[in-house]
Amino acid sequence: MTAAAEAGGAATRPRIALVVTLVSLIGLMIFGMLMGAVSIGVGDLFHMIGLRLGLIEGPETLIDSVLWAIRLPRVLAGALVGAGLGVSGASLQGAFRNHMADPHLIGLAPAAGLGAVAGIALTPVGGSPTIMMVAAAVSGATVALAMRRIAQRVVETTQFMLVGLALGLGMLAWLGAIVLAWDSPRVPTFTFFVFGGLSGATWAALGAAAPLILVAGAILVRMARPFDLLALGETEARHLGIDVDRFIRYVLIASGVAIGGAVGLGGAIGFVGLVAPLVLRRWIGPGHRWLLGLSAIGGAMMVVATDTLARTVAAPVEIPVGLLTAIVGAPVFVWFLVRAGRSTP
Amino acid sequence: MNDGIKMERIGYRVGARSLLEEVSMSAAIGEMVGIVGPNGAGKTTLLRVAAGDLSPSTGKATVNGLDASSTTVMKLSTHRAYLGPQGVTDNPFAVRDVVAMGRHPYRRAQIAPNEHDEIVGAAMERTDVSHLAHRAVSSLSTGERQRVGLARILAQQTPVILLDEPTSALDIGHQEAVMRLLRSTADQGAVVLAILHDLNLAAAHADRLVLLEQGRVRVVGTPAEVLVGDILTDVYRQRMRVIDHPDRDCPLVLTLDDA
Repeated sequence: MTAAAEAGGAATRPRIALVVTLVSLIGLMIFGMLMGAVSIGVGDLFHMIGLRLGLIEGPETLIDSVLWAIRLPRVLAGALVGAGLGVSGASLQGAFRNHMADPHLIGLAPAAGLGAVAGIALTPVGGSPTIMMVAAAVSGATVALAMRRIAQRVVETTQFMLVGLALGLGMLAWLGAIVLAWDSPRVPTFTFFVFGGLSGATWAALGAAAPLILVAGAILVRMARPFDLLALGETEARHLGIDVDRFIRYVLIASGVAIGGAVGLGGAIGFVGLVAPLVLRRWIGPGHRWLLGLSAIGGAMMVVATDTLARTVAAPVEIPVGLLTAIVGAPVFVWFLVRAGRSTP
Repeated sequence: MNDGIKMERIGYRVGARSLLEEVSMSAAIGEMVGIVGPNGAGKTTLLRVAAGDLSPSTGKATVNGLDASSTTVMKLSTHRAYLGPQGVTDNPFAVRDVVAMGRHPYRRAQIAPNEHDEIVGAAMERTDVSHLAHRAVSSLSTGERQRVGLARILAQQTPVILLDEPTSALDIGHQEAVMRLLRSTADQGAVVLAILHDLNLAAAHADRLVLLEQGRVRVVGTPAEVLVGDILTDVYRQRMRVIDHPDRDCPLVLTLDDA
């Protein structure tokens, strides 16, 4: 039994978690803005904000432009991508009643990547990132719905995961073939679709991805109650008045859209959708009322922190952020599997 | 108002296989009706048709006046509750949270939060799971899970209650307690339809029994009418004898060695 299942502090624990994660996220975002090739202090940050809000008069310094044009969109993109992955991870796990259903492990990130490339092909040269993001979202949602069909046909969790993994690897191979053959500066690198990267985070890209992630995320966070009932089983949830098929369809579409936005903006950053809900579930318990929103915050923390590390630890070389999330996430996943394997009879 | 359960000439087939054929039965307000029969007779299929989970191939099932297969799940959820044989499936929620999920159908009703709490508390009291309130369901025994499941469907407060072997994992004391509980729920105006494996439990507590055999109704009637040695021996392919219960006013079924 997890500690959270005991009544003791169960009621206050999510509130504490909310405050702790929110404060940490803001702290990590400020820290991320200060770190980088050009050294920047907190005072510079206030100067930039004051200037932008029109509170301070004066010319824009180089530091102001670095903060506004590079650091701020990058940190916001990290938070947005992480939030999208975190909330969609928790949602997929609820919809599939499988705590291992990570957006990447079940093939949705490669699907979104393929969609993004298709979107670029359809976009006129020099065109909008919106088309790419929307194509990624449509592709992500479509494959999410397909995975539901597969889940209804295979009973075994292992089988479902392997199907998702094979599907993902297959799509990744196509993605690689297209990206390498096309060889155009308009197309992100293959590394972007395997290990992600936030170096392309501009205000324009942010503006295209944000509505997708925020709207889909808000829809998911509001569906906490049916998620809880679904944990009892699909039949039980139906008997309690949930139109299960419709509910899961909505969840998968919203998750696919959030993943599409996240992948379009930050590429395939793995393990965030797996680790954030996993850690939070152990902290606050199984109820979705807090879990979905907190997973978004937790995912945002994870990507902002790892991205700051990724661009500073070996500067001027930038490590793909997904490498770092995988280095942290893979052992957590293995630990989780081994532990789960031990507890089942 | 409670129109009970009406099943009219229900047929249910999967491919070429017929699981139910021409099954008609009813259960009225205040009644506790048991479904009995050997494995594979179609008991669970019949109960799931009544629940609206399965649409019958032929015939019509109504629950409290609603067509079970065409009414929305939302509407059905305030008219019938269903308890599966395992009670509550393995899940990490605390017992009290799971029982409170039984109130979900009424989330839009004008009911004060403390009234919900009282109903949940009373349901847990009646099924003897109050002391488990803060335990995670995953830490419970099979019998405890069955009682938690029962508490959940009592909290759902529906006029029709469907149960698939509600006592299969319970000790004798809890078996009798659960049957008395279902009896009193029926007396308060509900309709209880339960699959029962233990014929003596069925004999002692049910008003009427439906004996199914290979997807068809063999007999419907009072326990004394249904639990007849020759019929049971034929249906279960096991020699049986029925005598009067020495203490209770009901039949007592005994299994015998092969002649």
